[in-house]
Amino acid sequence: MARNPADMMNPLVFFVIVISLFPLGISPSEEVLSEIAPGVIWVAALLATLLSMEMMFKGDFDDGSLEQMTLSGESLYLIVVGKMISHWIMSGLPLTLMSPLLGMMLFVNNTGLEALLLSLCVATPILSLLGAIGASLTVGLKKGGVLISILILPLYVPVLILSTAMVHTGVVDGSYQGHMLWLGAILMLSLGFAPLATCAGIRISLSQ
Amino acid sequence: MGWLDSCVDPDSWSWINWPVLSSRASSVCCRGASLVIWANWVSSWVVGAGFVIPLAVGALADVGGALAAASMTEVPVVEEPAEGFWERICIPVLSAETRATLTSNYLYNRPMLRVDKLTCEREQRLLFENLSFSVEPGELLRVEGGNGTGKTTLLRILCGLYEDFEGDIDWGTEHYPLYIGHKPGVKDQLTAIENLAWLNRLGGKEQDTLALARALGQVNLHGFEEVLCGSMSEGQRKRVNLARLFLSPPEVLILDEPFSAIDVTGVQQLEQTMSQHLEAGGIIVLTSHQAVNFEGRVRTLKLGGIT
Repeated sequence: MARNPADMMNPLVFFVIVISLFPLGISPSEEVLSEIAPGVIWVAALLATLLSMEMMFKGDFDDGSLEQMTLSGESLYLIVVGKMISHWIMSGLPLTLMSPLLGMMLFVNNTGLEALLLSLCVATPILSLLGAIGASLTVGLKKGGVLISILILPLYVPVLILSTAMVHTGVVDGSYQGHMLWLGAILMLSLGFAPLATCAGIRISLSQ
Repeated sequence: MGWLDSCVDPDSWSWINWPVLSSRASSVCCRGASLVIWANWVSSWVVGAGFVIPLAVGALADVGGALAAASMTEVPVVEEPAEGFWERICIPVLSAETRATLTSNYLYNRPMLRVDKLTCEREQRLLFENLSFSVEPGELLRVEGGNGTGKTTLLRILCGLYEDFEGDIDWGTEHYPLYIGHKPGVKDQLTAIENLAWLNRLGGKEQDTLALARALGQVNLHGFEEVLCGSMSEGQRKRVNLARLFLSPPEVLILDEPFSAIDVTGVQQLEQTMSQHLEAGGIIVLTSHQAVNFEGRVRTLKLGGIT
C-alpha cells in the first residue's frame, strides 16, 4: 500500500472533506457544531475506513499473490494479521492523528479532544479487524465495495455508538472509563476472532 | 535486615500511606503482599532452574555427541524409508507379522500422489466423477481436455485451493506443492528480482541475489532484474513466477498452462528443467495444450480416463 500513495491519501482526504463540509452545510455556530461534532467525526472516520477496506486483499487477489500466500508454508493467520496492522497504519492511524485538528474546527473542547483521540486509537483497529472479514469474503466479487458495507456495518454499529458516547461524555467532562473498557473488550475479542474469520473468508473466496 | 526480611516484615512498609484502610487491614494487606512477593521470588528460581538445568544437560550431551562423531573414522549411512502419516502412526502398532504381510511397495514405495474416486460439481454441472489415479515419483501427469472440462479445477483441488469435492487425495510427501496458475502471482509494485525473492521466501527458502538473477536469466529475463513488474507484459510477469522452478523447487509441481506466453527458447529451457526435476524423483502435474515428451515418463489424464 505504501507504493500507491493514492490508496493512503484517499480515505484521509475523504475524512477531511466530509468534516469540512458540515459547518458549511448545517451551521457555523459553535453550539450546533460542538453538539454534533462527535457523531460527525466518527461517522466520517467509519466511512473513510470502509472506503479503504476493499483494497485490503483486492490487489493481491487480482495478481494471484493471494493464492501464493495461501499455498505457502507460512501461516495464513500471521499474514492476515500483518495485513490488518498495515491497513491500520495506512488508514486508521492518519485519521487518528488528524482528528484533534478537525475536532478543534468543530469546537470540541480539550477534554472532548482527549476522548476523541483515545476513542479513535482504540476503535480504528477494531474497524480494520472487522472490516477485513468483509473484505476477505468479497474479494473475488466484481463489485464487492457495496457488499462490504452491508456485511460489516452491523458489526460497526456498537463501536460507533460506544465511541460517540465516549466523546460526548468527554465533552461534558464526565468519566468515559466505562466506554474505554468496553471498546478495549471489543478490541481484544476482535483480535482473537477476526483473523480466523478472515482466513476462512480468504479460503472461501479462492474457492470461487 | 536483608531485603527478604523486609519483604515479610510489614513494619518496613510504613512508608506506604494507607489512608483508606484501618491499621489492622493495612497490616493484613502488607503481610499478604509480602507473601506474594516472596512466593513469586521463590517460584522464579524454581522455574528458572527447571529451564536452565535441562538446557545445560542437553548442551553437554550435544557437545559429547559431536566429539564422539568427530572421533569416528566412518559414519554409517542408514537409509530410512520415507515417513508419512502411515509410517509414523500405524507401523508402531502393527505386529511384525502384519507388517511383513503388507505389501512393501505400499509402505516404502508409495506413490507421491494418489487420488481415489474424486468427484466435483461446480455451478450445478458435474465436472468429473469417480476419478482415480496415482502419480509415482519421477512421473509427469498431463491433464488434458476441452475448455470447461475442469482441468484448472482439478489442479486447484490437488493443491488445496478448492475444497468442495468428494473423494480422497493422499500425498506421499509433507512438503507444500509449488503451484503456478493462470495469474502471474507477482506484485506490480516490485521489481522482478524483488518478486522472485519474495516468492522464494514464501516457500521457506532464501537465495542470494546472484542465484535469483541466474534464475531470471533462465527464463529469458536477463537485464530485467530491476524492472518493475507493472511495466512488464503478461508473459514476462508469468516468467518471473516460473523462474522459481530454477531455484530448488519442492518435490511436487502443479502447473497450469506453464508454456503459454513463453517463446520457443523458454519452452526448451523449461522442459529441460522439468526433465531434471523428474529425474530427481519429483512429480509434475500440469495442464497444457502443447504436447510434452519426457521419454516415457508422461501419463495423460483425459478427464474421464487415463492412458
